Amino acid sequence: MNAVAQTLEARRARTHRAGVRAVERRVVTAVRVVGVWYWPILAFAAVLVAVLQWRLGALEGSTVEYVLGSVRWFGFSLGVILPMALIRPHLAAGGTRRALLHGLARGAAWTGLIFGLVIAVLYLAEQLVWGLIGWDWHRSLGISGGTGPVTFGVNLVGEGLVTLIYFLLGTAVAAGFTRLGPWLGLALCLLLGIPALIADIALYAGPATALAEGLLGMTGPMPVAVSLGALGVLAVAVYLVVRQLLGDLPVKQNPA
Amino acid sequence: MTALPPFGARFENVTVTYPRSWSADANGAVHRTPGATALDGITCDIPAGQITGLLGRNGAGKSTMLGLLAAFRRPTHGSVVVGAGGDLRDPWEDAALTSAVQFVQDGGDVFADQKCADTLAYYADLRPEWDAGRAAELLDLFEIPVRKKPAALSRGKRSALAATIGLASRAPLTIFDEVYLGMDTPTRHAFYDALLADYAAHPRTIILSSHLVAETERLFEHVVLVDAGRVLLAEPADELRSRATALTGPASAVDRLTHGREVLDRQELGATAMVTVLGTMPDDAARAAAAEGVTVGGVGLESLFVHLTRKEARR
Repeated sequence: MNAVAQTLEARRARTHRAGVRAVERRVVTAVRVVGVWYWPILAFAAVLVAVLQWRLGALEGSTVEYVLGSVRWFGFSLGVILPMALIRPHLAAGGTRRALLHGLARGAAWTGLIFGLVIAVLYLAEQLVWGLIGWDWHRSLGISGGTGPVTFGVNLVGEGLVTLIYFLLGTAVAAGFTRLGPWLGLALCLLLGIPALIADIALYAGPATALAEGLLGMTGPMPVAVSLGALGVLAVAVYLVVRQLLGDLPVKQNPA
Repeated sequence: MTALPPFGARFENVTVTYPRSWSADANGAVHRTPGATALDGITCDIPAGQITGLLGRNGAGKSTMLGLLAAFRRPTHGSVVVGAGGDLRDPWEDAALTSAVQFVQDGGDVFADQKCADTLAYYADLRPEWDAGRAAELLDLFEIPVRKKPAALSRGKRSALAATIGLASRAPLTIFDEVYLGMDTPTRHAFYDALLADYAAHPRTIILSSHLVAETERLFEHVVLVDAGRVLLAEPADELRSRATALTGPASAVDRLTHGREVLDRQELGATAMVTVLGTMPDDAARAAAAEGVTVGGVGLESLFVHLTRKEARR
């Protein structure tokens, strides 16, 4: 191997890692910058809805549960916007699509972890506050029990995985539209609604009730574990779709 | 890390066809764009360690060629390889090669809604040869406020930011695609001077795609001329310059001397004419011309560019 080939070999892995880290940092920074506004507004909305419902005598359960409906779409939007904003500067700076993909996946994982953590904290805080006030706390969907570490962990992992899946779905939709154009892109978008639906079902009602309990006769923590496992498998499947769409995405030059 | 030598590049029978697609205009309206052949079987070399001028009219395929070198897309047919020391490889998804190729377009590929400093930091992270000191000097030279967002800069300043990225990258293959657009004349000349100084101090391969042939030709050591997706010629700039001759003097004498030769251009002012003809003048003809008060000299690349890319010349 000559000197040039050795130099290239030495910088291949290093520049790949640098690209992955750069993309990952961009995603985490975006989540942090937007999150500074987003989460306080969400928490305020949950409190406001709870107070209003209480005053009207219509308070029936967790209000955090309902305001959190927007969270996955926030993750989805980040998944749409960030890759498309990053791809041109990233390639022009000498990065590869593979590094972009890996960086996005790691960024999506961080997003899931941060979102899952915040959501778990919000549920926990709501339960504790309601308990102090003497209100009866429950959720109409998903795991409903207690303030212990298991519930906290299930909320963290479950919501985190769903956010991760939605982020990657956003990336798949953006790459799909860029690659396939409006009609096929729209068809792909509709198809990608299926894993989104499965993710929601798995988190709130799916394997835990219908599959694990009913069909497989599972009891105890197993249905929840199956539910989280299903989310994990789904996340991998969506990542593979994104890899397929983004892996060799051509980028248009500016017209000269 | 050991520095890489300047990169060369080769296009081998490269064809690029764009499928029918959709595009949005500035108002957000979406239009269908018909499919097109951007490059039609081109073959040429980009010599390592030289400044190559890539010339061609609008839509000739220059940006598509350059995008292939930077692995922005793949050719539909043929191969594109880059590298040093005769070891040329496909740059597609090869981090070692893509990190050695810097493709700068008009306005740059920047984070438009973040501070210029953020974009520069991103390039610094990914580019092994990035020279932060040089970037700071150029930002100062071009008076670019790094705390502003590129979206808030004038077009000229955005172009200057792009030029800064290209020069500070110190990439073994640095490509400037119409990067001067929007720059005012002093800034353009400052850019050309900075480019030459940087090239002398840190030898590398530079490709400069340009419409302003008269202004940039002094920089070129090698020229590739493309038209309608084909390479018309690829040769050393001096060789190209010697393809034509300009005769200036009394109109009657000039006409007599150029009779029967292919005229590329003709200008008259009173009794004086300047005629550009294809080919060189033999020494005896040049002496005869001088005796009749006609000056024989070389021509700029612009005359050749205009002539070779005219519709009539294409036919």
